[in-house]
Amino acid sequence: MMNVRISTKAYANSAAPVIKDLNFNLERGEFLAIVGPSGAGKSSLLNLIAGVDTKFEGAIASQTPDAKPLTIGIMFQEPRLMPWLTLLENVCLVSDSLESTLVIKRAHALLDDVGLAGLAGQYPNQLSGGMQRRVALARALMAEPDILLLDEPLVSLDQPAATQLRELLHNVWQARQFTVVYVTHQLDEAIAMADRILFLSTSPARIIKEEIIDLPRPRQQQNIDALGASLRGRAGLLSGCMD
Amino acid sequence: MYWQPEMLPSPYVISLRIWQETINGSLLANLLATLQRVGLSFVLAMALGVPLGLWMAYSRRADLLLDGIVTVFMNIPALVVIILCFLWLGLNELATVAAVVINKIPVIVVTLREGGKAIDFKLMAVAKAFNISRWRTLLKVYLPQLYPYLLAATRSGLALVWKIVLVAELMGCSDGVGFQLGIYFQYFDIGGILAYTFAFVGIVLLLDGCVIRRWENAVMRWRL
Repeated sequence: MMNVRISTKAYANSAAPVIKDLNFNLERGEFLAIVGPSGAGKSSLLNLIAGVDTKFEGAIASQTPDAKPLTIGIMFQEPRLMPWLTLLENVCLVSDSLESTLVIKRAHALLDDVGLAGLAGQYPNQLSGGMQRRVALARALMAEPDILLLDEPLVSLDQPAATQLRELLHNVWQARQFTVVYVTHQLDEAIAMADRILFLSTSPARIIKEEIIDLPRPRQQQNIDALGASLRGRAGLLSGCMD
Repeated sequence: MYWQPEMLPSPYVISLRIWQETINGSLLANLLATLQRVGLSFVLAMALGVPLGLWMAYSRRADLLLDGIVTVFMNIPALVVIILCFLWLGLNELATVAAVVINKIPVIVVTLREGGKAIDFKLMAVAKAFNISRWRTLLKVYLPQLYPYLLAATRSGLALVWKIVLVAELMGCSDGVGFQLGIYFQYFDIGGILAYTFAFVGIVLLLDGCVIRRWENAVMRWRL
């Protein structure tokens, strides 16, 4: 579905590349997690896939049967909602038409899906951090993405909010069957969600291991813990690539 | 020197004077002439100052090149610019408007330069990631971040522009509130001066309440 090949990604203010020789494929409908320590270049990688950052050596090529460009939805690490727009307007912002009744109806339905029905007229500053992330998810889904990019969506959320958002993400993915790229520094979170995990090294980011997660869904905590312990136990191989 | 009642007429006397000046048509004609100059100068100053300020915000070269010039023009007394414009361009409308615009542009430039620098590019990245059209990005993502600065430039701009217009009219025009104040000054007619002052301030307050405040309430509603 998509081939990501990044030879070098460096920033102007730093001589050392942040990503080097990183290649992987994305398959239709898969849930891919990318695990690496903070500062490894995971967010930089998502920005490249999203097309926000186009300054790199390499290529990101989509392969679709009808040659249609892939639609990408993204949830950044911070919700990045427009504070001057209501929740409904924030969700509608990414659609083709802001005024169409159909679009507004769909935005209401998405807000309903993420558990924020009735708050469509509120502004982001009236919501908690967890609620703002759910709006960001609704906005990403509004774009009807072929690929949904999630940058540490659960970071800095309290446990109940994180659990709620994790379940929501999982249910939405199962219902819609788009491809997900889920970036995290927490291995257990990746095991709980993903079909496949890529482990990144730091400075520069490279894939040091790929793991297929063959656990039945819904995943039990004991299975997650056992696999997590096994992966952590493989001496040296993953040292420093996860918290 | 002894205090005389004519030095500070009562509100009744001033109201009566406003009424008389309205009836004989002089007040409205002069107000209209001044408002035209204020409007034209304000629009021109904003049209030139806003893009210049944003250019300085995003181009380091432009900022380095123009920063000194802007600082100099901000500190030249308005009176000097007015006198020079009248000497160079003659006692005409063009000189009056040019003097006001030159005085006002640096303030707008400095305000909008800060506004441009305060743009949150993380929000702009959202627009790019979701492939939002340029027009919608401008209206829904970029401009809302500039509104506080545009509002500040508008408010301070109008206040400054009408004060400078009055001085320019006093010195080199044959109509307008400033011109009329000059006449009354020569006759030591404090009632006339206050009548024109209150009438003009009333219009400015009306403009602020009916246009600027409404605009502010509309675009800054989310902060309430």
